Amino acid sequence: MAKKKGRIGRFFLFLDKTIEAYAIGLLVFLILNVFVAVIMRRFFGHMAPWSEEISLLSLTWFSFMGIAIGFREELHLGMDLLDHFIPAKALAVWDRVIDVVVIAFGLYLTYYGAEFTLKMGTSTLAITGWPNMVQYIVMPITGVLTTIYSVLRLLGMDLRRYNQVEEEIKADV
Amino acid sequence: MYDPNIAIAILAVTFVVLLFLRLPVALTLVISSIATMFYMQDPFMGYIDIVAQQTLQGVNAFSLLAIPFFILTGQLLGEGGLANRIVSLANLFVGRLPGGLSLVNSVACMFFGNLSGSAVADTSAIGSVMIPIMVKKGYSPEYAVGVTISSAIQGVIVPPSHNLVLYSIVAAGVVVPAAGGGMERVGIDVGKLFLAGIVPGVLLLITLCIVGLTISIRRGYPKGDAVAWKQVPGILFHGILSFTPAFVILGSVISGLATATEAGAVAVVYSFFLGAFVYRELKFNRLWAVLVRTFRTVLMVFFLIGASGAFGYVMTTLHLPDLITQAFLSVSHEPWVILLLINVLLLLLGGPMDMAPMIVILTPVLLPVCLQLGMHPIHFGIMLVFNAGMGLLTPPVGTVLFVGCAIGKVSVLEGTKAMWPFFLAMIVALLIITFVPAVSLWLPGLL
Repeated sequence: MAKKKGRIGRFFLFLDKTIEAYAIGLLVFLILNVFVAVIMRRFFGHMAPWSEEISLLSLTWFSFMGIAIGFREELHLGMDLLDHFIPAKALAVWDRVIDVVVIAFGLYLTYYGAEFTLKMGTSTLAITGWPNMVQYIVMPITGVLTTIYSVLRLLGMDLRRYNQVEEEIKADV
Repeated sequence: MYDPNIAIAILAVTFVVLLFLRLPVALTLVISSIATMFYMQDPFMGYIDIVAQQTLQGVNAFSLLAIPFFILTGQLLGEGGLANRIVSLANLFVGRLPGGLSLVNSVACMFFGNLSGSAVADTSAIGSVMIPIMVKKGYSPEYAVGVTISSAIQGVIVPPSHNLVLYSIVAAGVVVPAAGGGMERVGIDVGKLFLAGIVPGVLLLITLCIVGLTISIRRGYPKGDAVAWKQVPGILFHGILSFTPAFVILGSVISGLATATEAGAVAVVYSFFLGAFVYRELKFNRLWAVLVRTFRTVLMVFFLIGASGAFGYVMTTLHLPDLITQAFLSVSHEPWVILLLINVLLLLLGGPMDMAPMIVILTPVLLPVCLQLGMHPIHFGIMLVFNAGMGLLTPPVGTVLFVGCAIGKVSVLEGTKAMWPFFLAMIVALLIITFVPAVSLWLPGLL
């Protein structure tokens, strides 16, 4: 993505960086939020009632943003048995077919995620009183991002921003 | 009205076919769930939109946060120069025995695995330090790789392991028949699960050390260098200090002072201070890279967990776990036969499957079977995670094998040949863990 020139390339690079920074920012926030909640509860006997609800909300966003970024970075694990039996050229074509399936998944998440978000429009979260939509809207957003990334990859763009070999990332759990 | 047999066939066929067609495992789970719900169109069970909702619900659990926190703790400690201190500590204990460096490698992998919870990180960190030293001292590179990758598997089972947390989360979503009628969810105390991993971890270490010692003596591998007395207090102090994040997690979870998630958050902050301000090896300009690496590891797992939430919902709707249990029980009424079959199945699946997918997919399928046989869910979890760990050593998806071979600059075939004696020893340990429940359940039973 970084190598793409022009306005569109710059826009998507900005979008990528923003999304990633937001997701990682959520991780940092989650650490600090839980850490502070533990310290407050153990040492000061005070518990912020909103802490767990906000954590769960952040976790949902963090996880769903991760789905989209995982497709961008081609990180989601698959079985590669086929690789041993099919020529590389055929596999490259097959990868484009997989892109189409991922686009279908992105569109599914966009449509049904948006529908469900709207359905939840009137309900609110128990403690903060925020509309439930703030939690569910991450589904269509992830759907849109997944679709965009997959369409761009289908068009032949290499979207990965981290090309260094980091084996530990592949199957670390 | 739908035909349950057709629905099950759709779920199973789409899942297996898409999996072999190289689709990401999590996506395979979601698509097969969507296909099945599309066929069912049941107003009580929901339509295809339920799959998206269940995926979201799957990641809407506070306990999930323990996974990124544990992984980040390991990453921060690794970045803070943990591997060298751990190797020095292990060398102090076993370095002067015959084939000392081989034993140091195994013990260091256990120590490091205890803190990182990751077999791959263990291989990268300890392998990078130990393999060159071993080769320099006359060990064959293949042997150095073999002992490293085998020993690294301890990381997945020795607590606090995020793989055990993952298992506890997935198991908590499994619904089984209750003793008093009706259905109930399987609840697992993470503290007890952590304790359950200790004895199997030590058992694995002992078996690996016996093999390492035997091979080293036969081949005449040398002892390690002697440690000067004046260095001992420093090595002990730094080594033990390195373990404090693990003590924080284990102590607070087992004593009930904090949940695994809370303990994980404290351990992250503590590890950061330890690396940045005490050891001063954790550089601030590396922090972003550490966070990115953690995020990239976690995002795959979380999608898998969310997708397994949807898949589990469809499976439960179709009463599939009951049917699978009946199928297993129809093979034999002897529990040992079924457990042996399950172990063979897990070892075979460990080849093409990675660890997280194995835990996420097979827990809802096999846990009800083992519960029916009278197995404790904690015992099953240890057996499953141990098996999944061994799968990291076997091609075609032998990630630990590949990383170890890359570090040691040996071919995969050479690495595999050198690893086999250790792998056989691991099978012995696995059989002991499977058929002697006390190995896993004695320690948690003391609580």
